[in-house]
Amino acid sequence: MSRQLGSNELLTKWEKRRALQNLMVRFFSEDYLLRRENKMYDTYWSKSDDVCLGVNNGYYQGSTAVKGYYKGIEERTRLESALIQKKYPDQLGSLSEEETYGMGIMDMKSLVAPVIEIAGDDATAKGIWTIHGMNTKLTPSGQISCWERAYVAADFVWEDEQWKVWHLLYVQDLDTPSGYDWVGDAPEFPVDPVYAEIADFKFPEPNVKMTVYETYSANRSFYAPPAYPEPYETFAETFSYGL
Amino acid sequence: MSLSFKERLHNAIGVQEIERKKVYHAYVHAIAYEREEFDKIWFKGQNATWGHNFGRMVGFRQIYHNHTIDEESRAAVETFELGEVFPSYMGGDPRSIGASGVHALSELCIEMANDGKSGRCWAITAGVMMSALGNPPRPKPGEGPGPGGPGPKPAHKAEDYQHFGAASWEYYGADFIYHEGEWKYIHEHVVPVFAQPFDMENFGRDLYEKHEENPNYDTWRGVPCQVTDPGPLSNRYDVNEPVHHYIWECPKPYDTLDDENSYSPGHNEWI
Amino acid sequence: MAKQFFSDDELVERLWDYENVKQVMSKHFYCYAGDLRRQELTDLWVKLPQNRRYASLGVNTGFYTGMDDISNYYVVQLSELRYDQLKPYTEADPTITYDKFNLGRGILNNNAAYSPLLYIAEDGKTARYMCYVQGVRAVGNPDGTADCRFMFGLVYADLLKEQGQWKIWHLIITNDHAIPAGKSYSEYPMWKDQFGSNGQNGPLLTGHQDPNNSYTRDEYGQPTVQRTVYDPFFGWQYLYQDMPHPYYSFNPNYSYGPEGCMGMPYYERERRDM
Repeated sequence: MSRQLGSNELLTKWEKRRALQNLMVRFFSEDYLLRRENKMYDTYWSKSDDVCLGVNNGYYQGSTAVKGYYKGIEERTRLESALIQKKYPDQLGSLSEEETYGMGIMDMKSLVAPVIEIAGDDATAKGIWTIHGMNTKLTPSGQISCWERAYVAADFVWEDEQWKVWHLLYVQDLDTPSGYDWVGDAPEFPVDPVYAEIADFKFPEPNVKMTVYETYSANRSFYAPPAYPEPYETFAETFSYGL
Repeated sequence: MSLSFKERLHNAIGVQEIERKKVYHAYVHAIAYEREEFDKIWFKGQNATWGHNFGRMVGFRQIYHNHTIDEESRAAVETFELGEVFPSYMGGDPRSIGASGVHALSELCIEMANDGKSGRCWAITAGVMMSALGNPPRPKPGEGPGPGGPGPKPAHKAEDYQHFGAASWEYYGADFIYHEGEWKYIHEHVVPVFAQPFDMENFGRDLYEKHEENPNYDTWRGVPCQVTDPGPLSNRYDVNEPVHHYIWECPKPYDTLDDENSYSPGHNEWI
Repeated sequence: MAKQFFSDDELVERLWDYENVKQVMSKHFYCYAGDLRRQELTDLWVKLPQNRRYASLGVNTGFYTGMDDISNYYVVQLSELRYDQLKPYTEADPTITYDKFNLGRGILNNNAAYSPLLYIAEDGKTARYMCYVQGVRAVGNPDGTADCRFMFGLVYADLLKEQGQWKIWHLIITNDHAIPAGKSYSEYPMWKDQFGSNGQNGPLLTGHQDPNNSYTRDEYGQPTVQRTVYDPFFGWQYLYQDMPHPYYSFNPNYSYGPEGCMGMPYYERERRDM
């Protein structure tokens, strides 16, 4: 920090840091687990148009593209939930769409090793976390649980007296079925006719297609985690986790 | 509500103390040092509660009994058995020797009450259960040695022992109170989500197949110990389990610990 | 409210000390995952000569002491290992050059550091830290196969506040279990007890001498001070004694360096207090 802060200012900065920590636990641990992806954009993202979401195969650049990413998750979840309800009519047949939304699918992401920097001007912040997850997905053959190893790094902006996500980089090292070697062929199971149509679901592609990060394979070039943030005064002095 | 500098500082210290106590709990529980946990960091009143999907223990005495008598003595009995097969274990700490798994705690979401008297937290645990020298077949509760177990002691041989490792993922909601100048646990609620051994199983696939074999399969495993409020208080993950059965959410900003802001409604008087 | 031992300013400083210690250790894990170990030693470890001399890095089988030995093991030997691991790729595909730009090919090293428990000394000069790591590690082969493992172990550290910055002084990275992905851990050969009888147990084959553990086999090296720091055979027997507890000031007998008690049996620990 370029100038000496008093205790009150340091405490305020500490509170902002902890608020950011709470935000990310709510975002990645709680809301993925409780299947609230359909509310994530409005809850966590900045109103700014230049938001950006980076994933392994590219960037969703701009608010329309990022909203499209979450819309894609929501539509896939609705389809999965409808198919699961159809699969188990005795137990689930009488439930409403709201009650069945997200069931039978689970994204459990634990978030560890935070490195957080609040800008000297308090207008922005940056952070990185490691994700260790277990995600259970619906395939045409039924559910399968996958180990996830990933990093999430983000630029945040102070907006309406709270932190909002501005640029998010969410890159995976592993997203691979548990109980199997990480580099072998994916396990194959017979197709369940009720779930077959899930194979036709098309998730919205990033509008900037590029290899941002590769999931692990035996022939992968080395990938270090995204750089952790260093102390900075204003956002102009630092790098961006977006494009 | 606008807090003074002193009040904010008190709450900030509380955040770190709560984080420390959650983590301290994870490690001492891992080595069956239950007395150290319950003697040091718990509120010892009637409204201390410890919940799980199988039910809720109410009152410090019930919690203390279940953890110290059950957990600690089970760990010690297992060590004595191990010592007969692996003599180097004889004379070691009967509670902690061989332990090497922990309910590994991810980052916490913590909110402090505006009145400064309590704090609440939520976190996922990506836990692992490990046995350095493996896990021989165990007698069923009440059949083998240990509390309430009059049955014959099983004779284990070295070949009965295998390495054991399993993932056990849960999440926690916990309430703490500022009592007699210290932050203390008053409520712990554990929501188990899934468990599977390393690394031959795939619980999503396994549950799908179990439902194919038996459409009425469910994940409920009964009540293994003395509780005041029997469960199920939450359900584990299942292929047809509605999401809201996982129950607890992260704490929201709040003024005071009450039934609206608690992981143990009905137990928020400090008695 | 309890009687205040620290002033408000000191309490705020200690709030930040807690976060900064946690943050330095998080950075260690990102450097470790990214093979950025030279950067780690430069940026995160002690800088003053008198502290660098007594810095240490512990593994299951001993301590590397002094920054030269630490650097030789932690950076140089890793680089040599990475070159060895690159060689089969260059032999299988001549377009892959045998140089630093291809180091780490087929390597995965992602470490999730859970449950950080830390205390700042009451004198504010040092901190003690412990966490539990669940890592994933893979070493690939050019034919597309790989040795993929879940790695587990506790990490301990003493940190020093040097010119206002928290720095790593003593670090111990223990290894408990290295479980192959897609295989049952129960099929992994059991360790044996040196005091076994009736021929059922063989010579000592404890956790850190396990030839099936590729991490311990390839990466422990020859520590400067060779002694048991952690043996998975006995697990976390001394965890309660070894984990950080509130303390007033640094005591070398209780440090995470070689002069401390890590890995020592009770009778050795008691002797240290005499």
